[in-house]
Amino acid sequence: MSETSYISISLAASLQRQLDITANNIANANTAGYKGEHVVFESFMQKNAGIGLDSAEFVRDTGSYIDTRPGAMVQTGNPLDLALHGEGWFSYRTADGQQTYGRDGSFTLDAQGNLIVLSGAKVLDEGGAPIMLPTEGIGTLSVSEDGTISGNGTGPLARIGVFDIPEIQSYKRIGSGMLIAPDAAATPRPALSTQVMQGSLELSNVNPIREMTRLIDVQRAYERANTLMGNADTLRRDSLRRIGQAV
Amino acid sequence: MKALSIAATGMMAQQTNVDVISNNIANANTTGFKSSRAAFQDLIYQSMQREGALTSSGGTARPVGIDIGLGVQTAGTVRLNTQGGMVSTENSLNVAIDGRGYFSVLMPDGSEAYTRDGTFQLSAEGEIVTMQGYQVNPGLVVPENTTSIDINEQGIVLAYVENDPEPVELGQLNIATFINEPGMRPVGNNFVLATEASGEAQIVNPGDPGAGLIRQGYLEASNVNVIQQITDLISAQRAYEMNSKSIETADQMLSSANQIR
Repeated sequence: MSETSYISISLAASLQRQLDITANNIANANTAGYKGEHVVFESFMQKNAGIGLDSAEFVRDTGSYIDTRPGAMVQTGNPLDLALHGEGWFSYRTADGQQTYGRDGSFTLDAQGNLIVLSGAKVLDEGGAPIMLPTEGIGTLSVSEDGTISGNGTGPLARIGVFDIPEIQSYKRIGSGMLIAPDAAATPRPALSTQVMQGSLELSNVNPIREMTRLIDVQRAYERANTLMGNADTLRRDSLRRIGQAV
Repeated sequence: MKALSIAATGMMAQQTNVDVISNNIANANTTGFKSSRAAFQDLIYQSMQREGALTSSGGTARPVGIDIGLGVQTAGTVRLNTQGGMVSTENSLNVAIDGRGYFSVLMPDGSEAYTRDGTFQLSAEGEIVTMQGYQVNPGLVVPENTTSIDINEQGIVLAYVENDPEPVELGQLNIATFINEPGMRPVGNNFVLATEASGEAQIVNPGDPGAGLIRQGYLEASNVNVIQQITDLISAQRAYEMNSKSIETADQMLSSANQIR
């Protein structure tokens, strides 16, 4: 095959990945605290690509990044639904002891009084210890804007940890709305200006219009790549036929 | 191409969402009903290129990777345990809990069930029972020829018998509180059961710290916010359509790939 076909294949392969990522964004359009994922493309130039060609540009998807813009807030009225206003991340500890970060504030209590997310991971306080509340006599919980939890007529019980992670793009997604730190990452510092909103949830920040137009874009670009491949094939067949005739 | 299966998980999640919303709307007028919300989480990610992988022998590392998520899953349905509105019925055996707690009911098989529905009746033997005829704990019996029944905020039941101006104290309706109320399992007939997740029932008297008060002559309406449910229904439908568009796109791309000769 000639250079032309390889260039179209490089585009088609990248577009398939972009479609997968777009489909995942759309599938998570109603996932609380979900952050969209987007692909970065890069052209990659090969000098002296072949006889008669000066250079050829291939397409490569070099990475995907997390869209960290805030999602819309929705009022649920549930005292343990917390949303973060401003930058910052909640911190969790999963069952296998991993410390993870995320924006999903749909919390609940287990029978022992641990504050957990729906996947069962424990919510951590600002010092990184799991939050445990007394199981009796606390009534309805209230959470202040700085994340302090207090019961009905009790003093402060715990403070929810909200962390500032400037290098969040290097964190790895593991599903369930969680990210884990790469090796040798700096320890996240508590976020000072972020407000905790009780009774609200942060919706997914996926923009439906953008994702739908991206679907169209991806499809048309894919068709273009395939047409290019077909044209290159026709050209080659044509030249072979003509050379055959000349002989 | 994973987009087909990713979009399929999205459509299934929205189906669950619509199921939960329809049940909320259907129970908008059910006494003591608590609305639920389907909560979603993203599935695991496949790393095509890992963030932090070394890009040179000099120790430079890739700042971002390519992570492709595999769709969405329903993490759970969360019951919203806020107070429903109080509806006056003027029936002396209609009681509502103002605050936290559940009435505990003795089921025919001897187990305990819990309910916020205080639509009580008297059985032929004078016992206070639920609409199904199940005994309400602690099993108070109203004497014959009772002219009126008084239940105060602490749940103490007083009966005025015949023409006696002094009431007879029958006992106290107790209520059960749980550390994790959304963890209780709904079983229909307005009953919920204790589970491992909800923790053991703590039997307390109404008005104790952390427990609600009893209001006689009132019923607790459902806490379903119908407008919220309708808007959620619209957003669920649109999200379902968007996922079907992803499937359509993937299908057309595959068909275009099939046309290359």
